[in-house]
Amino acid sequence: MKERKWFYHLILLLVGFILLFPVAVLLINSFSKSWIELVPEEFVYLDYWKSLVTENPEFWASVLRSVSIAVFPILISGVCLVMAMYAAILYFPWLDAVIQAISMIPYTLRGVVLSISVLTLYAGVINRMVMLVCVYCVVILPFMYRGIRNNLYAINVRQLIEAAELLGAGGLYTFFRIIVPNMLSGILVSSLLAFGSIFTDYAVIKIIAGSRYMTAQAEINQMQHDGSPLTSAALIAMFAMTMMISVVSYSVQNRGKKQA
Amino acid sequence: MSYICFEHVNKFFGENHVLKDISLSVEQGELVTFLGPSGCGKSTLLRCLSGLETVTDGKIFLDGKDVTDVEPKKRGVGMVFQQYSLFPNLTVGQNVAFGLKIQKRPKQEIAEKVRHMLEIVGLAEKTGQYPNQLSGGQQQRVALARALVTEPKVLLLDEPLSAIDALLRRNLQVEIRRIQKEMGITTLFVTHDQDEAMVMSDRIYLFNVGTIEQAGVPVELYTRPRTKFAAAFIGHYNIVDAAVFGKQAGMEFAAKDLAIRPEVFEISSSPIEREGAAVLKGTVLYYLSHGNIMRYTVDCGEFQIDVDILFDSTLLFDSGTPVYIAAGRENILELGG
Repeated sequence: MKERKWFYHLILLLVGFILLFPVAVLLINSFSKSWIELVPEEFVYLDYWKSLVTENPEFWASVLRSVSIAVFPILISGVCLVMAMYAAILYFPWLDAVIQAISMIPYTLRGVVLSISVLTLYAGVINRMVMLVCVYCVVILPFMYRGIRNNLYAINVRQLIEAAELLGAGGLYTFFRIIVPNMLSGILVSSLLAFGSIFTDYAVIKIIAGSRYMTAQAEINQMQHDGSPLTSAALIAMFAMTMMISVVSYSVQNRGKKQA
Repeated sequence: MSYICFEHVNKFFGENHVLKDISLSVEQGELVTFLGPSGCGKSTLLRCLSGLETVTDGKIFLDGKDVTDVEPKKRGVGMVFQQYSLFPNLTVGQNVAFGLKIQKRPKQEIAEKVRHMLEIVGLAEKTGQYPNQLSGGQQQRVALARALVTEPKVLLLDEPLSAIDALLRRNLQVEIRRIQKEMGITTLFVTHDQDEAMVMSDRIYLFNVGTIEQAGVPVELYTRPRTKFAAAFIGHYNIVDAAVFGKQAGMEFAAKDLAIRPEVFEISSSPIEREGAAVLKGTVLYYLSHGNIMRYTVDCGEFQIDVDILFDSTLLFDSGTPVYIAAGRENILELGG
């Protein structure tokens, strides 16, 4: 076993290298002005970063738009699914299969197809932003469903409710005092996955909102046309933000585990 | 009227008739065990008393009141589940205080009762820990404290020790019995482990496919099983065909089957002469050591007999050794069903 350890470490190093290499190159690119083939020729250090922070308010506004457009679908989808799954597990077990089938739809009906269909059907009837939120609600269903369902089953929700009921607790009290706190880690992980999916989306928003609602992805796509290392800085900034959200969620999840 | 009464209780799950016209009673302060194999309806009956299951037909009385249609939270029952069911997000102290908080008891009283109950179960120093920081046995004791702290009319224990390892289980059996006696609380205990039922119970109801097979105090059930099922389930009885056994032993029996406990046999390599005893000749097939007990399986031709004797290094028989075994007539039980 000991002899093989170096092999596992090598694999880990290799995978780590493959995953981090593009990020590292982007980072180097964000510090350099020009390149000779594969080697940076002239470093300008923080010039592009300064420019990104001070001269590109539209980028930060787009990041804010990306975040805000992700929040509503996650909230709506999360609340609906938690309640639906809770009801399914406790009162209507047959409903679980139905919810599962509905949640699988985005796998077969890709976001692009879905958004074009929704646009064709509701154009002129519903506000584009409402339409976008609704489409995202559907797009993130698989991520939300899987996490919430697994979490509900993992905490043995039925027996917890029975135990609380025998101690005199009502349904609502049990739901908010016992069930929701125990599901928090599952909801967080699901939300993070969903957030990642919306935050990095370009196609759906482009089809539904066009250029009227510039998200971070659309903004970066526009910056990319200039071929400036500023794009690399923007991408690294996005990566850092996503990473930060992951770390926060992970630590919250672990704190939940310690308490759970 | 008894403290707890089940009157002609029937329960169906779809087409499945799980409880068949069950009538039984439990006196105040008793620890009564529902014993039986998996799927015999013992847990369902317990859940019917708690209100977590409704009865299809029949009545349940608790402390003189008809509770058949009363909500679970208003029945005044405390329950301990097999999987503990502690609230993972609450500390030990908060778990135990949960029921008292619901009852809106004063903070001072809650703190006092929680501390007292945790002292009773020997976990006073764990009050700030979370359930996942405790061992299985400790978690089960917290569950017991949580169920008892609200002073319920009856304590229901649904296989509370089955997820716990053997040594700890034995300790907890004694512990639960001690607490139950100290508090004088009426307790219904569900288990499929006959040894556990023997150790803990004042009385035992033996269940089989939704009916009560036999009821009685542990010694009575152990020494006088009335049916083949009861004999097979309790006490590792040898169950043999009466006609075949009688032919070899030179005796006659009215019943179809006989039940004989392994420990009532005498075993010897030389012929046994005992008046009124059934003496059989056989060959040792194999033997197993259970610590202080040696169990010999003796082949008597048309049937096999297990014989338990206290370990004696001067009285050991190898496989293949011809032996004589004998059991007194008074120890041979004729079975009804």
